[in-house]
Amino acid sequence: MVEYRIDRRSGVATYLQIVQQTKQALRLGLLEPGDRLPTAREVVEATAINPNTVLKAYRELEREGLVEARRGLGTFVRRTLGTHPVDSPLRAELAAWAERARAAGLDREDVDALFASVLDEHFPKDDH
Amino acid sequence: MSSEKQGGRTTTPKGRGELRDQPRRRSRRQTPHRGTPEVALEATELTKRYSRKATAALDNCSFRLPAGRISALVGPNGAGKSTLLALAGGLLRPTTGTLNVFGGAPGEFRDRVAYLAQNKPLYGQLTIAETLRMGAELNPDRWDAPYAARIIEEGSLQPGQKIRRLSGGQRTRVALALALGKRPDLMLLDEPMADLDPLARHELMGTLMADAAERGTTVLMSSHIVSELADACDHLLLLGGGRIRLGGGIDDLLAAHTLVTGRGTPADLAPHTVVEARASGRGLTALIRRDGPVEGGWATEDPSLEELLLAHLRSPDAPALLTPGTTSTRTAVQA
Amino acid sequence: MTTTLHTPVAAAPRRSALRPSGLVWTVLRLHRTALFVWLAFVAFTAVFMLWLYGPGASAAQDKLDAFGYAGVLLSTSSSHALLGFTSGAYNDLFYDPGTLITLASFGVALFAAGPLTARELEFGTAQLVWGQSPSPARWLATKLAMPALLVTAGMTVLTVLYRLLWNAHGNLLIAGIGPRAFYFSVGPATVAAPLLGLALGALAGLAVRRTLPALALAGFGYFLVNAFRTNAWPFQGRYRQPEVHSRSWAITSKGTEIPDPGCYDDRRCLAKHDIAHFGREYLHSSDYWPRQLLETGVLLALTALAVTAAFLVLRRRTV
Repeated sequence: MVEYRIDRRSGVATYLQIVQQTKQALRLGLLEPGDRLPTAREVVEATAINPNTVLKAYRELEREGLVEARRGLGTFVRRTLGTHPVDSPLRAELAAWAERARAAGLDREDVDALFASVLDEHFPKDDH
Repeated sequence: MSSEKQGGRTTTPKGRGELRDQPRRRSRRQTPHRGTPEVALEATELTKRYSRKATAALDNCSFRLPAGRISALVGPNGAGKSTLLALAGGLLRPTTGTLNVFGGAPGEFRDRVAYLAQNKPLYGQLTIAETLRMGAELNPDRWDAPYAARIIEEGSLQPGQKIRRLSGGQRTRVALALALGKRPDLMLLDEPMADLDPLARHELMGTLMADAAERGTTVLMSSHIVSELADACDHLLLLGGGRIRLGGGIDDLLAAHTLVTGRGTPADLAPHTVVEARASGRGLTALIRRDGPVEGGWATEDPSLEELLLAHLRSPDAPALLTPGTTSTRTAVQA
Repeated sequence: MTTTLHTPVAAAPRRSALRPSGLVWTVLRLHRTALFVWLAFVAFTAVFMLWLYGPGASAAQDKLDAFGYAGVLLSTSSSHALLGFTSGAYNDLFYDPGTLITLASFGVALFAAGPLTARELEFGTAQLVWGQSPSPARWLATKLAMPALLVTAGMTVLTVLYRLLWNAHGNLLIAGIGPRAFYFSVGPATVAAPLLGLALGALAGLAVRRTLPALALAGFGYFLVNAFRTNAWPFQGRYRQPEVHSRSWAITSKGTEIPDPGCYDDRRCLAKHDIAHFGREYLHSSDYWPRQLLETGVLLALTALAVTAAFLVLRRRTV
């Protein structure tokens, strides 16, 4: 069962935070196909947000084909995200690169900035 | 337990279908069906004056609150929030105009409505257990004893404690248990969270939201702290000087407004309605109610809920806006 | 902890016919202290009257038999009164239940103005109850009916007892204004007066909605009622204090009835007349029932008016 953390200061719409955290959980393998998402009641009881916000997030996830609502049963994960699990070769390559960056004298913020700029170049943002 | 016995039609509020997957599903009591979707609260030219000479606490208010909404009732001190809630709870009589609750007079469906006053009145001489017993006695057909007891337990309160020995926040918890224990269809909460610590506030708001998620309860709660309600509410009523200034779904209201910045005068912003314009360097920043796309060299931005409310409160002369569906059917669209 | 909480709450819906429930339970529980005070007052006054009926009266009778009415009258105004129990003291004690009843009637009016109504409105607890299922009208009806029932029951018991006490031992009293005032004041009107106090108090509480002013208003209102009750009703006209005729006699040791010779506490004089007992009876006045019923009628009519006004005041403010 995933738990959502709502950050009121983040400026990101609450429903988007739920969408993003669900996707993150799918990427990290915390959720797998067949798993049930918490019910809206469970989410709002823990987070004190509006039930419709949760439903909006679940509808968005459903629209993207990630989950499906089964009437009377709950909302279930349909497929996972990211074909590259935590121990994939790509991760190993990135780890090796980070090692080299540190050896080259870059600190955490330098790496962050560098990574972000490459990310923006290759994955242009289409939504805000 | 008692509410399980109630038979009747299961009203599923729009968009809450998926919420019905709860093991403890509760059916709502059959209600006289007058138009769809059901209207929880409808005010028509509602005016309340406390004495003949006094200015009106509520001045010719017309609006409707669809059932199943969780609505924030916002406004500065003295805006008429408490008056409106007390009128809806059947505790006051309107001077003129009408206020309908579930299509009837406010006193007609008293058992379906819970009201929590700002000062959280309780009987100091009773214990918590006796206070809950009173809830059971006064609501013989609806009282959910285990549910009320759970709310008390979550606050680590002992049933034998006398009410007069409780702190302000603990009293609020007992008062909320009493209000929620009757499993109302409409909750009227006057500054419900004011004297709660952050943890209790989060817990009780969560309990309230869970109740709404499970049963489609309509909630109207007042506050002058906007951030307290921004996440919990999907609907807004803004009162100012006894009048409704804004009414509708929060998303709809936000979408109807734009924050523009640029060089020019408020007159250049026609045909949009300028709610508030303030000088900003050589130009101005204005909150406008759009009428078509914004043209010209204006930089546009979506306003936050707080910006929207503050702009309206600072400009008492700005016209009111009620989104469709929140307008009382018996009056003109603009209040 | 959970079970202790659940048990009393869950038990509530299963109720027997005799156990109070709903609003009645709530009203009784909220005003439990007042209920206990009332029951204690009724019990104490009743026991007091039973004492006056039995042991108190026999001691007074002994004194009377020894000295006669003239002697008793003398003994009250002399130092004899301090020596043990005298008939003079009995004469004073006889009227004390009446004082208690008057005080309790005031108490009813003040209770109705303060704890029953104004305090609830002032602190918002009335709104708490209306925010549950009962309507304000049903709330007020229960709030008036419960005390009215208890006041009627208690006062009826005390009034009947007092009347019995008078019938049995009124002859022990020193003649004068006391027995006359008593004779005409104790009856159905004794029960009706606190009911008017209850209604006036509730009306004051609902109209003023603040505890202290409501108490003052109810106190003053009931003071007026009480002032009129003490033989000042306008309808009583010239005959505010009709005479209660009485007949006094003495009985010699041979059983012959002779007029009271007026020996006071002169033992030689008493011995000379050979007096063994004294006796007196108050004759029934045909004025009693007309006066009592008229007064009761007026009090009940005023009560009805005050109750109606109380409901109207409540209705004007709430739905």
